[in-house]
Amino acid sequence: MKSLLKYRKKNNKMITAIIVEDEKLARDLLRDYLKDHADIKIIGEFGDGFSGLKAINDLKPDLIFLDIQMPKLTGFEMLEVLDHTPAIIFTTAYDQYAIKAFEHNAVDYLLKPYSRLRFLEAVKKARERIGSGDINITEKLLEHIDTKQEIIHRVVVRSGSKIHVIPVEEIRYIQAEDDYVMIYTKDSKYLKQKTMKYFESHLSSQDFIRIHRSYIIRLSEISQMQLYEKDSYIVILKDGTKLPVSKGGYPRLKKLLDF
Amino acid sequence: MAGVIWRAFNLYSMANPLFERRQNIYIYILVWFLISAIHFLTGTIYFDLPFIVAAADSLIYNGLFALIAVILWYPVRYNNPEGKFSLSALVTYLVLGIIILTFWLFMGYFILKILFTGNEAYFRFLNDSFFVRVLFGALFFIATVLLYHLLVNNRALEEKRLNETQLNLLVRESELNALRSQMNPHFLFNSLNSISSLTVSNPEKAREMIIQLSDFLRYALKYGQREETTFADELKNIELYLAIEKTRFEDKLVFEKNIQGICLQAKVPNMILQPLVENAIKHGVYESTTPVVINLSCQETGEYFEIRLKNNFDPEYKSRTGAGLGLKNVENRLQLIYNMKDLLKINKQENYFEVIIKIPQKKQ
Repeated sequence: MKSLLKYRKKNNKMITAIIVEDEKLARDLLRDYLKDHADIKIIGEFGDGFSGLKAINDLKPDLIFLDIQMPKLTGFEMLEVLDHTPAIIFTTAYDQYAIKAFEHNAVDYLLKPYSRLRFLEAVKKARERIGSGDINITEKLLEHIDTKQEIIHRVVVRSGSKIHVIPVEEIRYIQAEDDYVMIYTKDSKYLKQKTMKYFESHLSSQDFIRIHRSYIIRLSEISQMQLYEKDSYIVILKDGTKLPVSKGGYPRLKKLLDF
Repeated sequence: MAGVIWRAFNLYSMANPLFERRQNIYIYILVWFLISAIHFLTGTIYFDLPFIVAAADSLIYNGLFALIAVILWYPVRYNNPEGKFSLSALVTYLVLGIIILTFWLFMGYFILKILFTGNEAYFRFLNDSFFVRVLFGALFFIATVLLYHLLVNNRALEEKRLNETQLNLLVRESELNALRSQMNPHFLFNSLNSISSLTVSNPEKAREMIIQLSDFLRYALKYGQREETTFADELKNIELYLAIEKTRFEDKLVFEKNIQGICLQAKVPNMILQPLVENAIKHGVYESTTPVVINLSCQETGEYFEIRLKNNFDPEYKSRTGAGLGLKNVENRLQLIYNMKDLLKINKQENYFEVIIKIPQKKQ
């Protein structure tokens, strides 16, 4: 306790925090543990990814306690569309996401159930991180890591204040747009800040194929393929959209479609 | 090339057990060759037939029967040789035997008559030997039928043995994985976290939850993979599980059951409900911010005991397609235990999800 008192004297600055966690008892526990830390003020608690996201963007807290498995948006999906990046302490029962969490610049990763002492350590790290103000340092690093090649089932995008959750089944094709990609579905298109490389490795290779530096298409959307010029091809999608096939894309397409 | 022909032949032979192994064919040909040789030697030496006539007599009659015996597989198979030897099968064989013998004798006679027109001495011999030929034909017929029965039963036995070894292997494997496969470890850790929280706010409730969790774990560890229990036991256990989840999710989880007394005594594999309920919670409760109703009902139809588990889900939740691993495990397990397919059905609608499992009931 003495060390805690010392902290309070040294660091007068209040830290604002938000809890995003779907179980009430887990939130209660966090609140109870936080009683030891008078410098951390809880400014909101939320039971799902959607409302948590909105609150973080509105209230801009210094610190969030974030569960991963939550209704509507998972913790990670939420982080993708956050425009304010606070320090993050993940609290979850799933140990397999630890690496990914640190890739997302997590301050700490608490495995449920966690002890008071373990919680103290995490909060201490958060204080140091917030005090030093280097929250975004590893964020740039993040884009280049993405080691885990897990297949995604939905994509979260933000347009203005609206959040859209697009099931992967609805994606027809993806087009590169500078630092962004444009995702085309049947009825709409969405801009997302991710690389083509990310989608190439995170979409099922049985359903999607990269036919060009700038295009990833859903195989079942292909209606026909035509010779465009001397050894250059175009693919015509079911709705008539014509997309170019690159020299590298052609053999891949040939192999997948087996012709 | 030989391989291709062999494969095509195998395909068209419709799994005649004679052709299951190349070795069988060689033996088959050898046996007929021996029979033909004896037939030929008897003809030339004992009955003083000319060399050519004795050879033709032997080759045509025996060659014909060798071919007929191959085709005989189809009526034998039709007669269900794996089952018990019934009276109706016996009658079928009797009729079949008469038809085949008549055909065989007539064909042989017909061909030889054309070949040796005018050889009166031979025809006299042919006519005199009629009854001996009938006798041998009947013998061949009985031997062939018996051979097929033997082969089929042997094959069934082998298959059964293979199945059993496979089952044993799988059972042992899954027993090792008992806890891991039947219960999501996150359920355990999240529950422990809830208990950790309750120790401060409501110690009495924490103690209650520890006891529920212990009872549930004890049940999960008690049985082997193949053991059956009553539906009443399963129900008691699943209510424990739901009570624990209810402490975690509070009003978000609503459980309804619609169970007639007659269902309670039905025999079901142990821990069969838990993965179904876990699946409903995972895709219903985990992903929703509004209450999710899980409804359990059952039906006893005599031959089968049917369990239905229905849950609504958040229509906004963009679910994954296909069945989850948990349901796949249940399906595999049911198939292994009852040796039947399609015991698990999934019915996914716009706003609800339903799993139906059928459990065959043994007649008592």
